[in-house]
Amino acid sequence: MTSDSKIRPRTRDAIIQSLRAGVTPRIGQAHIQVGRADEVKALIRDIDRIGDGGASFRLVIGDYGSGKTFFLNLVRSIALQKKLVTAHADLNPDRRLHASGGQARSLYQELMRSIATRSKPDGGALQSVVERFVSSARSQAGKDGVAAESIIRERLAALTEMVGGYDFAEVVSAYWRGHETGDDTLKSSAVRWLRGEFATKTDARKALGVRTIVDDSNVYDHLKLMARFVRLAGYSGFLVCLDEMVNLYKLPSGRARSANYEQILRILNDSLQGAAVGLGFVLGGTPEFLLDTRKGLYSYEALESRLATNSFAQEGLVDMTAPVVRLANLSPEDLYVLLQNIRHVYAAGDPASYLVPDDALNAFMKHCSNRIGEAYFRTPRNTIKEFVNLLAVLAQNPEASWQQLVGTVEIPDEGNPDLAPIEASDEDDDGLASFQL
Amino acid sequence: MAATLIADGMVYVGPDLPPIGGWQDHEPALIDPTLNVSRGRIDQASENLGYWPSYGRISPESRAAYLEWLAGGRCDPDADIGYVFLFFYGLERRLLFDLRHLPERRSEAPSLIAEVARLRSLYGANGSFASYSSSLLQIAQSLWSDGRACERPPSFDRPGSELPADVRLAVGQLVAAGEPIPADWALAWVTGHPETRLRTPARRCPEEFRHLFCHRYREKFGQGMLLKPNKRRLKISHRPASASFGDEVEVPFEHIPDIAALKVPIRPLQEIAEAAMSELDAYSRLVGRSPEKARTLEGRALLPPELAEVRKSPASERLQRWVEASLGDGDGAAVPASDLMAHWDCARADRMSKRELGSFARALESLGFGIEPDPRFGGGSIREGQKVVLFPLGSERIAAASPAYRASTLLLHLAALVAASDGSVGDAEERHLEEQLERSMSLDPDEVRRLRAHLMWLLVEQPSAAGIKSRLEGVDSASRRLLAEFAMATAAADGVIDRGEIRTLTKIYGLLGFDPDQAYGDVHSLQVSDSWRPAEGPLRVRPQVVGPSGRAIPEPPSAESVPPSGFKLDMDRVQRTLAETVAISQVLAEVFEDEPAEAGRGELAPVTSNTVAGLDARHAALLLALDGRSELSSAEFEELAESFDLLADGAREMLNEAAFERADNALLEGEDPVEVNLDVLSELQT
Repeated sequence: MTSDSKIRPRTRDAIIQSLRAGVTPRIGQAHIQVGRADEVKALIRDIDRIGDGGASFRLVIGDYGSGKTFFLNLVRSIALQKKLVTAHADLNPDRRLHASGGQARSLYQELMRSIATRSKPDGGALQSVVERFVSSARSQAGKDGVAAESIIRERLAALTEMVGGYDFAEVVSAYWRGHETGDDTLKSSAVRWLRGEFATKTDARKALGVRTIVDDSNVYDHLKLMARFVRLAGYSGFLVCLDEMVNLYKLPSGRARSANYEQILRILNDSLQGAAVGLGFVLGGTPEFLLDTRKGLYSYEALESRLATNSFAQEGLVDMTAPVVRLANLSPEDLYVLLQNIRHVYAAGDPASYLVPDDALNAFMKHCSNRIGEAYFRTPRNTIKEFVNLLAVLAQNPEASWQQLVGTVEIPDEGNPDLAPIEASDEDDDGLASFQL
Repeated sequence: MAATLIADGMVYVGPDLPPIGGWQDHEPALIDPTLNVSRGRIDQASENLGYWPSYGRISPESRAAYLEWLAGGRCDPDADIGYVFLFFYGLERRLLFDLRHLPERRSEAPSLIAEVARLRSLYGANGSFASYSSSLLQIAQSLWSDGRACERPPSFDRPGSELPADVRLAVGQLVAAGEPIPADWALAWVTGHPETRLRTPARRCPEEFRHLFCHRYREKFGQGMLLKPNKRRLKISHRPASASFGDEVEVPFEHIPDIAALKVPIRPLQEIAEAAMSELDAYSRLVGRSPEKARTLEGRALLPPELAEVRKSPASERLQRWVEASLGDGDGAAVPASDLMAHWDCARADRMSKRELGSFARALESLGFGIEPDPRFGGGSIREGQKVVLFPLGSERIAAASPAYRASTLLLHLAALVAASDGSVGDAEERHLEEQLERSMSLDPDEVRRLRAHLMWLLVEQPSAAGIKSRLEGVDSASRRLLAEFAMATAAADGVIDRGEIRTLTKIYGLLGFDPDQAYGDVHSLQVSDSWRPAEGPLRVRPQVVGPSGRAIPEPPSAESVPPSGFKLDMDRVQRTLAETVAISQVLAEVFEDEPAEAGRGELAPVTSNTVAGLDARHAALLLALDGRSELSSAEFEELAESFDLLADGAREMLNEAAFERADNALLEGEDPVEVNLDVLSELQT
């Protein structure tokens, strides 16, 4: 993307730092996005539909290195821009959609920790959402000359019909009462409850007077509640991004796998039938997670029939409304354009400040190709990282020539962590970033 | 004569007759009536007959036995061969000595020759007698028969280590006259030739052999072989059994060449004979194993087409009618295996073994039809309830599958597995398979015909993957890769790769020796290839991009598949990617651009009032209170918010929301300290 628009230093720094750390940027993805126009447009339509009170479900399928996480982050930032609240988490053995040992609640906790709004794009915005709801209720109450709590109750009445909705409304009211009475303990209990941090019902009852808590069995119900709630607070909708779905595929127990797939089916059905309001899911996974007929989603027949390509789209005709978005691996040409974009970002959007000419991009790619072969564009993380490092050196040493530096770049080869056995996964919230050789 | 009546003579009787030559005093065949003949005892067992019997020297008991044998009409099958020889001596003397000196008695010759033939047929089991009598017959016929030898049927006897006299004479006569040698004499020549080795098929099935030889001979020589006479003259010799001659009898033929000496013409004849025997091998083995099957359909199936042609039977005609009715005008027809088995004698009622099916296939082939599966082309046994495909054969028959054909069937089998694994074989998939078939250019027309039938069978019968593994042995890895790609392309032919197909593909990958999990990546790669891109709008469909951009399945990622030196960018593609990138960046720019100010379309639109930036009084007051400060700690901010009775985080959301709408940017950033974007602030305050 070589538009002349300047890139804000804060965005530029965030992008460059992420790339140097080998993780995908959480903001400013639009500046380095290469191609994938159809896929991005499809997701923009999803987001618009969520904003209109609809629902969506997408599987983003791509091989390791094809840019799933980047794509998910881009989608997330688009959603934020369109006034959605987003939450995202990587699945791992301790975070699943369905479980009985607390792993589903653990996923929920992670999602709530990551809740972001346009104003707080880096996460931790759950309290902001609650307060915005309360604030707006309060200003309404001020105008109408009634008690804020009655407006809050009135607005939350819609939730009480839903599973867990009654207690949800209670907890939000408790937050308000805490604020009103200066009871910070009550406020923090309310937030803890919303984050799924209560482990027992007894504790919840003592702290908030509610009978239920977020547990393994009602995680999805609470996500639906949250989707309704964010709309009540003035946001457009709620987008949940789940990455590293391959961890479900890697579950050793067939029963655990199919319980999780059943949960996915439920989410998919709700979205197809319009049973969820203002809620979207984007799930990132590898081809085997989808296609493996023994352990993947295709092992679950009901899912297979819903996820399969539209069987009327034959004879080379395709249907993009199907829930699966497939990402191709980057080609060398894609990478070339990506390097151009990175150069552009590094120069803060000013072509006059480009540190290297096009020839240098070519030479750099050729060098990488010689060093690690195809991997340089198939799994481009290290290639990009080293390219940014190269730019950094050139920026700090204006006298250095890129011709000399290109030849000295070392590209470490990288393995595919998706192929690692399940024990190798760690707790880190970005398993990819922490992977090192 | 010693009270014994001898009915029809043919014996020498008298007191004295000198031998023709040799060392004996008397003619051994002469019956001297003066000699004693035993009346009581008869030497049936011929205990004291001796090796060179002579009537004059044998015992009275033996004489009695001899006379009794003569009187009995010379036909007692149990008679000792010595007595037969004794009589035979007389015939030899008469035929080869007396008649040559008494031309007026030549009329006796035919009856004498007939007598030799009669004895030979009675006592031919004795090898020695068979040999002597044959030889005598031959020489006698050449001496005394009327007309030319070649006008008589050849005898096909192989009496000894020499070419039979009748062959030498007959062929010699034909050569001398410059006439072609007819097939039966050519056969007699080659079978009688001492250097010809007749193998079992020729001996076990003489009729078939003769027929086939003559057929092939006529194919090659038409009316017959024409030979130039050679110089050496024919002499027919006979070593008499009778000691009376003392030496060999030799009859020269002045005008007839001796073809026995010829070596050149016999070779093509031997070749024809050898080929005919080979063609009869299978039939001969069947007849050897089960002689009763010689005349059945099964036996007929093993015969070369020329013989099968003339051996039509009601069974074969029934079969032909059935096949023709099944086929109609079509290129092939699937019929139940049980119908097929009704036409064949199978060992088991519910199953046709590989061997039985093989013979059946040959039987059909002799009628001009083929069958799939055919064990000769990789098929196996069939069972009741299964189906087979019949098809018409072309004029060129193939007897064994070429490697290209084997590879093609393997390919089709794999593809059919994939195509059928979604439960049914769709039209698109079937078309894809047929196109593949058309592309099999390296196959003979007959192989293509068979392959089409094979495909029909695959689609009808949908056989399992069993047995494929062994067929895959010896297929190199490049070909395996192609097979995998083809299977993948078949799965994708209808635009859908479903779960059943994926399962089959992983199985096929396993069979082919690839990592089954690689199939998922390959399916994915195929689905993201240019020819399989998602569409842009809801339910919008668009025609497939055909042309160079339609890619086959990419090679699996491997270090060696792209040589490091081969780095080169496709600049056209870079341009396309750039164009797409620019397009999407415009879309994204719109997303990240500020929306029109009236965008407060949430359920909770900011309270409409005349306060700052659409905020309510408290928030507006907070905004104003920020005036001039670029940064404050989170505690300070919280305090400030609470001073207006606001919730800090909620206030921040509200202010930022307003800021995004008015100034396309956040007002408050960062957690601690909270940064205030002063540009935005001033914009909001205006």
